Amino acid sequence: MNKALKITGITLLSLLGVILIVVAVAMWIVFTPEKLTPIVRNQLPKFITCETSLDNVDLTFFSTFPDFGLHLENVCIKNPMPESPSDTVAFIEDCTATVNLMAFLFDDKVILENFYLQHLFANLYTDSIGKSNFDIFPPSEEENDTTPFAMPFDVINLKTIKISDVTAFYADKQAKISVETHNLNLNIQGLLDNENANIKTTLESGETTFNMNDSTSISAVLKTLELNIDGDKNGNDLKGDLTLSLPDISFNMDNVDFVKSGNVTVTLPFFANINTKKLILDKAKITLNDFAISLNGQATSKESGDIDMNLTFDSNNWNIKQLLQIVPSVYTESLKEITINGDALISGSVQGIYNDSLLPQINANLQLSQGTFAYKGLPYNFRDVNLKAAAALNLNKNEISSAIIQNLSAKTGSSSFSASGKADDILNKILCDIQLKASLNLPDVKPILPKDMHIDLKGNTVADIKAKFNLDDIANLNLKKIHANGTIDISNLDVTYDSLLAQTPSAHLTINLPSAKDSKKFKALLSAKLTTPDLKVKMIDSFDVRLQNTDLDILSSNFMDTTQMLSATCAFNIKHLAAIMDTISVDVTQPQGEITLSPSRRNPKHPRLQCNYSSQNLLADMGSTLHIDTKYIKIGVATTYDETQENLYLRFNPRLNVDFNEGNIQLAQVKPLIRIPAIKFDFSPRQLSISDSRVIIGESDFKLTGEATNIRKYIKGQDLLKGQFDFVSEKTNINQLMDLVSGFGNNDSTTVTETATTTPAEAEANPFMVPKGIDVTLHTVIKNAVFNDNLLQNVGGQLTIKDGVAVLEQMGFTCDAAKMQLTAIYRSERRNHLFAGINFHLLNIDIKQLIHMVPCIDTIVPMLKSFEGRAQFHLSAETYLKANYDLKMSTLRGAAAIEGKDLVLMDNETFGKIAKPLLFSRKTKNLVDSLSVEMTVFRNEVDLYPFIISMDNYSAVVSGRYDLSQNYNAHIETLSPIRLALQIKGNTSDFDNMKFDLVPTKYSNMYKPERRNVNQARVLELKQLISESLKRTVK
Amino acid sequence: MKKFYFIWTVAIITVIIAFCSCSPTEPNFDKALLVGKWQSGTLFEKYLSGGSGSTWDTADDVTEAEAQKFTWTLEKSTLTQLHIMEVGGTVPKTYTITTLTDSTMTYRDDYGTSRKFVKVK
Repeated sequence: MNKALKITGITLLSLLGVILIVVAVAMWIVFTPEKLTPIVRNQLPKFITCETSLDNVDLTFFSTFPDFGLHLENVCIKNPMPESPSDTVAFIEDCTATVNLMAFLFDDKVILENFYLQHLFANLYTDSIGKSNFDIFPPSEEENDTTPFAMPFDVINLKTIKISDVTAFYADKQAKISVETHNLNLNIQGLLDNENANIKTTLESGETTFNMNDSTSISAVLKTLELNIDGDKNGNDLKGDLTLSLPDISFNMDNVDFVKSGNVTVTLPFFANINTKKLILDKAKITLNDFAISLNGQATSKESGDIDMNLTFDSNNWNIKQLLQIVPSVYTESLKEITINGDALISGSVQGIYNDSLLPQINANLQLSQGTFAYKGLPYNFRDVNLKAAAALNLNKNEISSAIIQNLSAKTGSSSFSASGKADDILNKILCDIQLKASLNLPDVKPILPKDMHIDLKGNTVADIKAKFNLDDIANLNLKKIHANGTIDISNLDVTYDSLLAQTPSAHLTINLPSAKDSKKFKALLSAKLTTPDLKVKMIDSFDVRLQNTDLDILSSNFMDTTQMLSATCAFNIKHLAAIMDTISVDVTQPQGEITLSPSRRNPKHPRLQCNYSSQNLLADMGSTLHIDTKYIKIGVATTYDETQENLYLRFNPRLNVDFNEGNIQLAQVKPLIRIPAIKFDFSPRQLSISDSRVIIGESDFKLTGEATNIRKYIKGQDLLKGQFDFVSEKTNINQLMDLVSGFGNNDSTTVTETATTTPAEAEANPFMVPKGIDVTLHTVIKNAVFNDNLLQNVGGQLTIKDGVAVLEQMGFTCDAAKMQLTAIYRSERRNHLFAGINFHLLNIDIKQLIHMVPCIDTIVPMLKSFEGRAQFHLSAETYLKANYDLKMSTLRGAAAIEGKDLVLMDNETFGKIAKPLLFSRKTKNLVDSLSVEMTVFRNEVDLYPFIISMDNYSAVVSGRYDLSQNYNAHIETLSPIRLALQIKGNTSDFDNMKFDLVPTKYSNMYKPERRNVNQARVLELKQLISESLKRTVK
Repeated sequence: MKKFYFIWTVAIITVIIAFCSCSPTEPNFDKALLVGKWQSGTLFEKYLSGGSGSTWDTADDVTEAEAQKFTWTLEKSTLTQLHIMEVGGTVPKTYTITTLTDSTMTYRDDYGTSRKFVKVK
């Protein structure tokens, strides 16, 4: 055994010795540098077309034992080109490559195992026409050589590759790219063959710069670079760790610094299969300064070219303020006025196919906490901003991306906000479905109000709003496509704005878009409902309103649509309303109704405002001027505004219908209380219809019904206002009613002519002015009427007021004194020139009552008070009056006729004076058989036409003149039994000095037709004329 | 007896007066002279040729436009005005003209009240 071992050992050592001898001989005798170097130098031009130089080539064995090595020194390749920074393409100071000796000797294979390179200088240059200085290899002999590339070595079985101190320049003037690196070292340790590998690679470099100045300018500077790859290749499987460290990197594109002195690290554990082209990342991490993103997952490249990705990523805690600091300023320009901070966490996944036409879906989650936000234009600093949101991004065509805000909350001052919801199609239409909640402390609102708006706000508001919309519709305020529902609760509201104050303990506002209700009059888009138990609104020195239990329902059309007129309704239901404004106070119980604004049906360009109102009790005062109280009242008001009309009435076209009960109106200027048990009327621009009205004014009560027409034409000045009314009354005080309607429609422009002749009393007087421009007939049925303290019964007839003239037409009535018929005209031509005329028939008159009823008759016919009994009395008179109703005596005209039978002539002082000279027998009551008196009034003169009195055996003629001052010039002449004539002169106020003188007779033949003279005949004709003209109007 | 003497005395005196009061011949005035506007103080009367006329008194703040209408006739010296009222009824007034020229007019009524007018334009 030992011998065998000895023999074997000796053999091996002998063999080794032989080999060493052979190697030594080959290296030092056969393949010496002096022999090898010329050979290589001569062969180089066959492989390199430019100038080359080589100092030394030798074989190494002992220094690279156990491998053979080829060692080159100072290899230099030169290919000068204009503008190239150097004429040298490459210079290698020292390069050694080793091959496996045993495989070379026994297997005839060249197996490359180590490669060393020191001090490499490279200068790769391409000029602007594409000519490169490294295009130094000769062209292939066969232009169409299709043989595949073959390694010059049979096998690569690298154990070490070490390249150190590399300085390289690359410049491509055509592509406008330049790269420069210094002090580059590469160290690869391990095994690398054609099948497997197990390597550790370290790449380090000094400063490296990259510049590209094409259409986009890019520059990058790496102060240092360190790349470590520790991996295995086992067949088709690759596994390893890659770390890249760029502690000082700057990247600029288009003069924008995207990274400046940034610290980038990449840690990339990976597993890949070459066959399946699958890459698996496990806890890969990319860091820029303090911002890191971790990646996990896999990506597989399919045969079709698709890359199937399934990656997840998540970030570390990103400080937003710091993040914004490293974002290029060009992208933060718009954020210049925003101050934002907080911590953000981003996580997500990338899943799906990536190819030329498809992109994988990206799911991202964002969590922001402890954020702050401030905007220069917004006077608020938001704090505690927290956001939790997710987004699903599908960047492929026709696919929808979405985002979900799980929670967004923020606080400012004492207010807080939160929002949640989702947004679909966020890369296109951005369809949002969000819910916004806010708790707003109203004093916090003040900063956003104008500084010159002196407002003091107190109270809280809680809002909860849900909305669905797309962003375009919000931007364009396209309300038709926005869905929003919300409630706003206001508590302890106390607002003082300038002189306006508003207070409410609570209010609830609900808003619905589109409207939760339909309107019969228009298509409602928005509805809102406001309820408040108690609302006080006050304006200092102006009004004070209090609303209790108020419900407001508001509907509106699309108010953003400028092609259509706004339509809106506001329905109100208030338990109690109290308002005070100056001297006006209103107190209403249960007012309710609706106000509607909509386009007119006839002309949609004309807005129509309609209001329906009702209340149970209404109490209103206007100082001491007006007091109104009603029970149930229902009012409908409508107006259609026509801006083309100049007249205010035609411009507004008002409509009004009123129905109320038990109302009372007290006017300061009309002393009696106006009580209205019921009133119901409809007023339109063309007519007024009073279907029911029962009114009690002082001593008067009446029911007024009827219609007024032609109102529109009257307003236009085209025609008179016409009216037909029925006035039915149990009792009417005519004087009070005249006071009520006095002056309507008059604009007394004639005062100029009055100033010269009017007295102060006339100037201050306020006479009844008959309305002008109207033609109204009042059919009266009055059971009892009081006029000038006289009671008139069964007053029937019609009162016509036509364009400034009032005509009481053949009004029939009865009183205690007589049956009467009255026609009267009153015309107020101007304030100080009033016309009054009466045609008055008293049938079967009681003379005493007559004088009581019409006292002025005693002035005109003073002798009437000497008679008793019943008579027929006919009177026509007209005159003009002054403003204070004083007679204009120069205009007074009148005629009267009195006919009576069986009258009693009372024995009084006057009769006594007359009876004595005329030899009458005096009795207490002297019966008068018949009496027929005609008289006229002209200015101040009363002419008593001759008439006969027959009394007992006496027959006398009486005539005379007197004035309204009671100055008499009477003539009494007896016809039988003796002929005597007595003249009476003087004033009755001075009766004792009146003269009673006998004078010649003058009526002797008047009643003897055959003997009467022309004057007497004319007198009788005039008497007849007077009598007939008066009686002609008796009905 | 005294009453008897008194009656007879009055009767005799009446008869004497009656016989002594024979009126002179009534003058005949030209109607054309009457036509025109006449003024007496503040009182105006206007006679138109067709037999219509009007009267007003400026002292009562009445203008000519507001004058009251009448119709008139002139028979010899008797001027009759008929004031027809709007409400019905007629007020006749008769005057006896004593002077009528193209510039002045004087009339008196049955009770001796006379009024003098001057014609104005």
